[in-house]
Amino acid sequence: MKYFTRLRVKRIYEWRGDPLGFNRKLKTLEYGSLAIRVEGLPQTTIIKTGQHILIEGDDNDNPYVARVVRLFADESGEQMKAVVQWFVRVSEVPPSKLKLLGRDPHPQEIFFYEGRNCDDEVDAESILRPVQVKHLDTAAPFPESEDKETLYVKLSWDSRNFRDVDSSLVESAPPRPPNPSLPPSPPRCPPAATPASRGPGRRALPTPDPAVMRRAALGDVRYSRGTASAGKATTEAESLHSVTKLSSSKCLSAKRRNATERTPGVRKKLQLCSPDETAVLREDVLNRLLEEELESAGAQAQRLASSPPRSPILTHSLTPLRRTNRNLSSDHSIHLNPSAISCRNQSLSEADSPPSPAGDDSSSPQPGEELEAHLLNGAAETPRRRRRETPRGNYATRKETRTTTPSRRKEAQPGKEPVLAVLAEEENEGSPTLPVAATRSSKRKSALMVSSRIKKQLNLLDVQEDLNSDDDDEFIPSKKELQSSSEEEEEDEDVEEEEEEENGPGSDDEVVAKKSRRSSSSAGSRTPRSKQKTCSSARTPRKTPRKTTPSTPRTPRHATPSIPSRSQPARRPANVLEEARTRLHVSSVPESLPCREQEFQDIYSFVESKIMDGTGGCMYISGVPGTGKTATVHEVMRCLQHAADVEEIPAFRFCEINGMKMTDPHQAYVQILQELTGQKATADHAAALLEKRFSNPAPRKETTVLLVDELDLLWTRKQNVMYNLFDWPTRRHARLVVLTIANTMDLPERIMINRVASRLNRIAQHSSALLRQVAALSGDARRCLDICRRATEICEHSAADLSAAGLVGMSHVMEALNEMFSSAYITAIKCASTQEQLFLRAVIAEFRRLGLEEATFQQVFVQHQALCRVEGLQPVSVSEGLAVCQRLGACRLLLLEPSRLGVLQRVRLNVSQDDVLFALKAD
Amino acid sequence: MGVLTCAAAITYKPLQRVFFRQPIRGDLQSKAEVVISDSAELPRKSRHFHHNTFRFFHTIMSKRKAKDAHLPIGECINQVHQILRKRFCHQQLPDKPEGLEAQHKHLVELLKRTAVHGESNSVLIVGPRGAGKTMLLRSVLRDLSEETEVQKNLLQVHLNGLLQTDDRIALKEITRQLHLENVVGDRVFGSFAENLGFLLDALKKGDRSSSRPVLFVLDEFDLFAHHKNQTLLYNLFDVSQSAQAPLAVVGLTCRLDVLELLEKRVKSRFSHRQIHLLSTLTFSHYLDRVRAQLSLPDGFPDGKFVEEWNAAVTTLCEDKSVVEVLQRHYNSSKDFRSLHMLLMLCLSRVSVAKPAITPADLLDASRLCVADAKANMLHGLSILELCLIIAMKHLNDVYEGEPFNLQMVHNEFKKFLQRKSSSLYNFEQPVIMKAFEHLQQLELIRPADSSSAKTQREYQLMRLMLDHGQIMEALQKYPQCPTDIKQWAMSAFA
Amino acid sequence: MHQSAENETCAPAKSYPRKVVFSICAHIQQREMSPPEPVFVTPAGGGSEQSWMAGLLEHPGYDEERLRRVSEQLSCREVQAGLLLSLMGQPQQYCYPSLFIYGHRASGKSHVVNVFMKDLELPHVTVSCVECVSVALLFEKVLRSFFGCDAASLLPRSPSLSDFVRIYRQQSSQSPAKQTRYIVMEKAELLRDADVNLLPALLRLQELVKDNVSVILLSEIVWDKFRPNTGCFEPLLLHFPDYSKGELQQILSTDRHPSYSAEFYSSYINILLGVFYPVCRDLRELRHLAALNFSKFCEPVAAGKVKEMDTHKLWKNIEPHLKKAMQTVYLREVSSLQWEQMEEHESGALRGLSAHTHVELPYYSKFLLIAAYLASYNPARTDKRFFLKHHGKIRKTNFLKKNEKTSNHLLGPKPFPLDRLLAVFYSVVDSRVAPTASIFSQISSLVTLQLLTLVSHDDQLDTPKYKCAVSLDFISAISRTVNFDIVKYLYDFL
Repeated sequence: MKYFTRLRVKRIYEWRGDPLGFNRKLKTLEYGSLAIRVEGLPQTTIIKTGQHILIEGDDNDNPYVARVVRLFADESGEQMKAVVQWFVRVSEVPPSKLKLLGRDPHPQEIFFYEGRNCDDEVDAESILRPVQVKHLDTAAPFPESEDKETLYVKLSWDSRNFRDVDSSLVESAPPRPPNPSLPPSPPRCPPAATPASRGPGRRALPTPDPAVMRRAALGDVRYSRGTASAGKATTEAESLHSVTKLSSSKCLSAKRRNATERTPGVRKKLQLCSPDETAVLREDVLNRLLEEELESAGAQAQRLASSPPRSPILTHSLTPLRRTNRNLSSDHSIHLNPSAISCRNQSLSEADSPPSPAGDDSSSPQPGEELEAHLLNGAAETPRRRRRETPRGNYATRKETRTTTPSRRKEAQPGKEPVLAVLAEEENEGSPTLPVAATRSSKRKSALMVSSRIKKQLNLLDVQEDLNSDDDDEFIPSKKELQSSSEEEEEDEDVEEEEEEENGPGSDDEVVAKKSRRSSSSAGSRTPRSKQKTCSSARTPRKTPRKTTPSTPRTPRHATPSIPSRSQPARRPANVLEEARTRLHVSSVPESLPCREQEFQDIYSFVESKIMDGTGGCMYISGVPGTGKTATVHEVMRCLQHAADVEEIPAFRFCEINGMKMTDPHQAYVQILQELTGQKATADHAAALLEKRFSNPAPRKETTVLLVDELDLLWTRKQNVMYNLFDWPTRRHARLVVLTIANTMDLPERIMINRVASRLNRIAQHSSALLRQVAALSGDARRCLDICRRATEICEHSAADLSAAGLVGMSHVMEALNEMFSSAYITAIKCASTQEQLFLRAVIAEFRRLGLEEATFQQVFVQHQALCRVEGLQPVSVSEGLAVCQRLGACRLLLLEPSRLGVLQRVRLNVSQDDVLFALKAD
Repeated sequence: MGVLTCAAAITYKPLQRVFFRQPIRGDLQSKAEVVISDSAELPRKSRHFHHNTFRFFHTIMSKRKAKDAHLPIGECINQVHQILRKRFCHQQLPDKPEGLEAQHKHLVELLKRTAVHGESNSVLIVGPRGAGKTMLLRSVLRDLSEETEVQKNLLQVHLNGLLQTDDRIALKEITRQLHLENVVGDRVFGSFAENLGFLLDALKKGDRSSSRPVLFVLDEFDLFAHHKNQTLLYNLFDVSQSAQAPLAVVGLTCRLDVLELLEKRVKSRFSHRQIHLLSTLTFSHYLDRVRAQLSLPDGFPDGKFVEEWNAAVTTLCEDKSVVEVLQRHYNSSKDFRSLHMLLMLCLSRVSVAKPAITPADLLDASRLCVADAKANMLHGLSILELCLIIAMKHLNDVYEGEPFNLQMVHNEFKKFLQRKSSSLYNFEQPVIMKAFEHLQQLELIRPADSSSAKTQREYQLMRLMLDHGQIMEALQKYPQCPTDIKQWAMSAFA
Repeated sequence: MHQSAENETCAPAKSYPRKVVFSICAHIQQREMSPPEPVFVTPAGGGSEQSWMAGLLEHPGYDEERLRRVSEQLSCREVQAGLLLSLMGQPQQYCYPSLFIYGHRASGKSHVVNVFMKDLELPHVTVSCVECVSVALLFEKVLRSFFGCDAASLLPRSPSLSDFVRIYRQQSSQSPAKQTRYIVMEKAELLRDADVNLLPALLRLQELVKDNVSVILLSEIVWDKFRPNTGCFEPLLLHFPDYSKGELQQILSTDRHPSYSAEFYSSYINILLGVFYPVCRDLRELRHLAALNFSKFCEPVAAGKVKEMDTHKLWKNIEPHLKKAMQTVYLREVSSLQWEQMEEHESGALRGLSAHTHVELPYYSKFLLIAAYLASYNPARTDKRFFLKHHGKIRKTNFLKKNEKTSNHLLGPKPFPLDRLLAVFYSVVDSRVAPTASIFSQISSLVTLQLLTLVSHDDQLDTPKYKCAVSLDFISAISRTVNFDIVKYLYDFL
C-alpha cells in the first residue's frame, strides 16, 4: 500500500548542507539536518537532529513517534538513514500493562521508550514530518490546547513498567510548529484527494438532513477560501464546522423528538441487530429518516458490527481531552476508573489462560446496573461489545482502553461548546429520570458507544471494500481517508458522533462530507489533481456493497454469539470427591504437564529463539490424539507470554486456528486475518491481505506466533493453504512463527510438497505412559482422565451405599476401566434373545460347513431351522428369521447386504467366532 | 369431564344395536353376541367376560350422573382404548423405567452434574432397537425437569441423524434451538462457515460457572459420524472437554461398533462413557411386563371395571396357550416395541361386544405377527406362476443354486406337462413370459447380474428368492391345488 | 374402486370401456338377491360367508350411517376392513405410528384405505410414490393437505427432512390434531429407492413431529425387503390376501349387462374364469377381459341361435375366442381397440396375431438371419457335418451325445465371428452371391433392427462378433417364407 501512496505524492528527501563529518569506522557521513519537500510545492520541512518526528509504520493514522538522534548516509550518499530514540504511543503499550499506569492514559500521551529489542536505525524516507512533543512532569495534568499535533511525555516505558523521565531526555531544541502547508504524510494524501471527488457523489445520496448538507457545503466554500489564504486558518475553519454541525445535530435531535411511530419491517430487521428495545426505537426512527439506502447500509453495519475496528484508528485524534483533562481527572475519574479498570482486567483475565473463570459482565454487578441505567444511550452496546471482543485476547483489551478514552472528553464538553451542550440537553431529555451522576456516566457511556459507533462506521467503509475488493487500490485509500478525517477534525467528530449515535449506519455519508472538507483544507492546492482521482475513487465500492447487501442474509456481525447465563451460579464442588472430579475433568489444565518436559523444552526454546532474533520459522508437532500436543503448546505460550510480560523477551502476538473448526481449508485465511486484525474478509481477499502483511517490511513489527491445530484438515489438492502457512515464515519481514499440530507422523512426507516439507523442522511426540495400566490400553491422556473421573463417581456411589467416605481405590479404577473398555459385543450376545443366539450359532455352523467367513441367509436359515428342532423350539418362519437376522445386523453383530436381496443376502460376522462361542458358552 | 361426556355421546349410538354373530372360522375378529336393552335400568349382572354372555347396561344418562361409580361399558372400553393406545402407540413414558434402574441412575447423575455443577460430559446410550433408549432419556429428562435448579438452567438441543443429514443443516437447527442471535423467527442467517464460527464463539464465550449448561441429544448418533470430517462431533466433544460453556452430549445409537465410526481425533475427545441397554430380563419378568402393560391404572374412573379388567388380564397371563405364545415371542425378541405390536393387535379386538382380551385374541395376534409374508404372497399367485416357481425350485435342486433363465424354467414345466398333464395344458411362451415378469415384479425372483442388458429376456439369468420351506408351506395352503402339481413339487428329482 | 384402479396398478394402460366402470355401486344392490352359486364357494377364502355381513362394519366413534355406506363399498374385504378399522381406533385416539399393508395388486389395499379416509372424512393425504419424484413434492403435498397452502409455502427451495419436520411441528402446534392424521403412501416399495433416511423417518414420524399422525404404507412387496440396514421402527404388518375364485366370480358378475339376466352373465364369468383363472388373478385384468369379450359371448344369443341357458353351446362358441384373447390382448400385443375391430371382420386377422411373426425382410437378409441363427445355436464343430457335401467319417454316436445342459436353446445364443456367419450364409443360400457391400450393409441393418446384436467391442473392427437375438418360432416363420427347413440344420433337434 505504501508504494502506492508514494506514487500519489512524490516526496523528496535531501540533506541540507554538507556533511558534518565522516565516520570512518562506520563509513558514514553525518548530517545535521534533512529537508523534505513535496514536488510541486515550494515549502520544505526541515528535520534536525534532536527533533521529534513521525515515522510511518504499518498503521498510518498514528505513525510512530521518535526523536532524531543522528542523521547519516553511507559514503555514496544515496542511502539516507537516521538513528532515532523511539517513543511509544498508548496503543503500543500492551494493554495488560496499561493498568500499571494507575490512571487512564491520555490519548496523546506517549512514553519514552527504553526497551532494547528494536533497532533504532530507520530509513530517512520513512520520516513523515516533525511533531511537537512536550514533556510534562508526572504530577502535572495534561494541558489543553487547540492543536492535536502535540504529544506529551510524562513517563518512560521499558516494556516492563513506567518510570519518570527527566525533560532533558525528551525536550530538545524547541522544534518549530508544524508547517500547516506541509503536504500530509503519504498515508494521508489520498484521502485528501478522494473525498473531494466524493462531494458530488455524496449529494446524490439521501442525506439525513438537508440543513446539515447545505451548511456543510457552505462550510466548504468558506473553507476553501480559508485555505486559499495560505491556509493557516485551520482552527477558525474548524470552529465554523462545529457551528454547522451543531445546527445539524439540533435539527436532527428535533426530528428524533417528534418521530414516534415506526415501521415494523425495519423494526424486525433492527431487532436482530440490537435486541434492547430502546436502541431499536432510536434506530428505526432514523431509518424512517434515511431511506432504504440506509437500510442496506444498516445491513452492512450488521455485517461489520461484530468485527472490532482496525488497530488503533482515530483514538489518538480525540484531542479535546487535553482541554478537559484538568477538571476531569479531579472528579470524574472517580466514576471512570472502576468501570474502566473492571472491564480491563476482566478482558485481561478472559484474554489469557482459559482455565481462570473470568467474571462475565452478567456476573459482575457493576457494569450490569450501568447497563440498564443507560440503555437509552445505547450504552447496552458497550458491555456486549466488550464481551464480543474478549476472545481476541490482548488485542481486544487494547481496544478496551481505547473505547474508554473518548468518554472523558464528552463529560467535560457540556461546559465547553454549544455542540456538546446540545448533546447534553438531548441526552437528558433522552433519559430525564436519571440522577445527575447517572447522566454524567450516561454521557460517558454514550460517548463510549459513540466512539465505538464511529469506529464501526469507519471500518464499515473499509470493510465494504473488503467485501468486494478485488483491487486494493480502492481499498486502501478510502480507509485512510476516513482515518485521517477522524483524526484531524475533532469538532466534526463530536457532531458526527452525535449523529452516528442516532443514525447508526446511514451516517457514512456524513463521514464523507467531512472528508471532502478535510481534503480541501489539507490538500490545499492539490485539489486539481485530486479531481482526476475523482474518477477512480468515484467508482470506489461505496455504492457496490449497497447493491450486494440485500443478496444473501449473512450473520448479523454485531449479534453476539453467547449462551445465556444461568439463573444461579453453578454449585461449587461440595466434597473432596467432587473436587477431585472437577480437577480430573479434561478441561481443567494442570499447571504442569508431566512427562512432557522434553517436548516442552524443544518447543519453548524454538519459539523463544525465533522471537528473540525476530526471525520466522515453523515447526511440525505430531503425535497420537490425547498426548497433549495442544496442551503443551498452550503451556509454552503461557510461559512465553509471561516471559514477554516481564520483558525477558520482546512482546509477541499469539493466534491460533484449528483445522477442524472451519468448514473449508480456505477459511483459515479468514480466521487468521480476523485474529490478527479483526477485520472480516472473503477468503481470497484475506489471503491477499495476509500475503501483504507478511511480505512487506515494517519497522518494529512484533513477532506473530501462529498455532495451526489439526493441520491435515487444511490439505487441499493444490496445497496452497498449507504452502502459504509454511512459506510466510520464510519471508524476510514476516517475523512469523508457525507451529503446526497433527496426528499423523508422516504428514509432511505424505501430503506436502517437498519444498513445503523442507521448510519445517518437527518434533514427534510419543505418547508416554501417564498411568501405567491405562497406558497399557491407550496412551491417551484424555482417556485416562476420564477413567479416573468415572472411578471417582463409582467410588462416590459405592461410598454413598456404604455411607463411608471412600477413597478412590484401584478397584474403582478397574471398574471404570471395565466399563469403558470391555467390548459390548459379548454382553450384547449374552443378552440377545434365544432366537438371535440360535441364529448366531447357525451362522458359525454354516461358516464351519462352508469353510468360509460368509454365507447367504438362506444357507444359514437351514442351519437355524435345524438348531430350532434340536432345541425343541418350534421353527420360525422365514420372515421371522429375516427379522432376527436384520436385528443382529442393525446392532452390527452381523454384517449384511441390503435387505432387498431377501434370502439371498450374504451374512458375515462382525465379531470373532471365538467371542461368539465364548459369549454363548457363558450362559 | 368434557372428554367423558363427548366420548359417551359418541359411544351412545353403537350401544343402540350390537349385532349377534357366531365367531367365524378364519374370521380373525371373533365377535360376540350381545343384546342391549335400551330401557335397561336393570342392575348390572356380574360381568365375567366371555363370548355370548348377555349383558345389560344402564343408559348413558344415568351414568353421566354417577361418574366415578360405574361408567357405561362403552365408556369404559373407550377409556381402555384411550389409555392402552397411549401406551402401545405413543410410547407414553412409564412411571419408572423397569429393568433400567441402574442406567437411569447413572444418566441422571451425569446430567445433574452438568446442570448443577456445570461439568461437561459426553455419553453414548447404546442398545438394540426398541430397547428403550429414547424412553430412558426422556424419563431421565422428565425426572430432571422436576428439579427447579436443573429445569431453570439446562438448555436442550435435540438433533436426529435422520433429519439433520449434514452439518450444515445440523448447525442451523442448533442455532435455532439455542435461539442464538442470528435467528429471526425460524430463519437462520449466515453461511455455513459463519454459523459454525458463531456457535463456537458462543460456546467459547460461556464458562463453567456462569453460563447455562447445554444438553445436546443426538439421536441416531451413528449417522452423525458420516458427516464430512465429523466437524460437528469434533467441535461438540472438544467443547465438552475444554473450559467453555458446560456441555453434555448424549448420543443414542443401536450400533455397537459406533466408536469405530469416529475419527481418531474425535474419538479421543469423547469421554468413553457408554450406557448399554442390553436387557437381561427373564421370561417371568417378561410376563410381568405384559401384565403391567395391559393392566389399567388406578386413576381409571370406573373402579369396578378396573378390578375386573385387571383380574381378566391376570387370568389371561396365566392361560397356558397364552404363556406359550408369549414364550415364543420372548424367544424371538425381548424388546418393548415388538411386544407393543402384539398387544396392540389384541387391544384392537376389544370392543363393547367383547370387553376383554381373550386368549384367542392373543393367538390370532401372534399368528398375524409370525406369519410368513412371502408365503402369504405365494398364496395369491396364479397356478401357472406357482408351477413356474416349482420348476425353479427343481432347477435349484438340480444345478445346486445356479441361476436359471426362462427357457430352462419353461423346459422344466413342459417336461412336467408331458409327464402328467392332467390338470394343466401348455401355455404360449409369451404367456409364460408374462407370468415370469410378474414374479420378478413381486421380487420373488431377481436377475442374477444386472449387466445382461443385451441378452434376450428369455435367456436372462435369474435367481429364486424363496426358501423351499416357503414354497412347500405355500403349496399346502394353496386353494384347491391340483394333486399332481403337489406331487411334482414333492418329487425329489425333476 | 375406480380410484383404486388408477393408483393401484399399472396394468392396462388403456381406459376401460364405459361398461366396466359402474363397478361396485351397481353390484351392491344386486348382491343380496343374487348369491353366487355354491360351486364357487371355496373352502379357504370364505368370501361368500362374509358377504352377508356386509354393512355390519362398526366401531365406536364413527358415524354409523357412514360406516354402513363404507362397508357397502367393501365387498369381500370385510375382514381386512374390520381389522384395519379396529387398529385405527376412534378418530381422536392414537393409531399405531405406522401400518404396512401388503398384498397382491388389485387386492383392494388402496381401495379400502381410501374409502375409509374419504367416507369417514378423516384428515388424510394419499401420496403415490410414483408421482413423488422428489421428496419436495411429498413434503409439499402432506403439508398442504394438512395445514393448507401457506404452510406448504414455508418449505425452502430444496427442503430437507429437517425442514419438513420443523414446519410440520410448528404447524401442528398451532393446529393440533383433534383426529388422527393419516399419510397414505401407495407403491411404498419405491421409498426404498428414495433418500435412505426417508423411510425410517416416515415410520417414526409420529414421534418426530409429536403429533397424532400415522403413516400407512401400501405395497405388493413384503416388508422383509424394506428394512434399512441399521433397522428402524417396525410398522404393524397387515396382509390383504388375494380374492378367492368365489369372490372374483362374485365381484365380476356384478358388472353384468343390464339387458341380460344375472345368471347368464355369471355363467359367462364362470367360463371366463375357467380360461383365465389359472393364468391371472388380477381382478382388474379379468374385468377388462370380461368386458372385452362379453359381446362375442352373447352373439349367438342375440342371433337367437342358442338359449341363454344352453351353457355348453355358449362355451363351445366362446372358448377358442378366449384362448386367442389370452395370446393377444392379454399380452397387450394388440390393443383393446384392435381386438374389438378384429371381432368385426372375423377373417385372416386372427391368424399370426403375435406381432413378431410378420416382419418383412429382404431376401438375403432372411438368409443372413437364418445363418446367424444357425451360427449362434449350433456348436462350431458341427458346421462341417451340416454344410459340407462329403464330410469325413463322423461317428453318429459320439456326435449325437448331448445332454440338455449344453442345449443352446436353453442356455441362449452363443456369439460367433463374422466370417463364420458368412460361411454359413453362403452354404445355406442356394444361388451364388458375391460378398458385396450390400451384404454387409444388410448385416448392419439387421443389427439396427435388433435381430442381431453386436457383442464384441467396437475396437476390434477386424473380427466383429454377433449374436442372433430372435426366437425359434420367429426364425422358423422366416425360414418358412423362403422354404428353408431350419430344424434339419439345428443341432439341438437332431
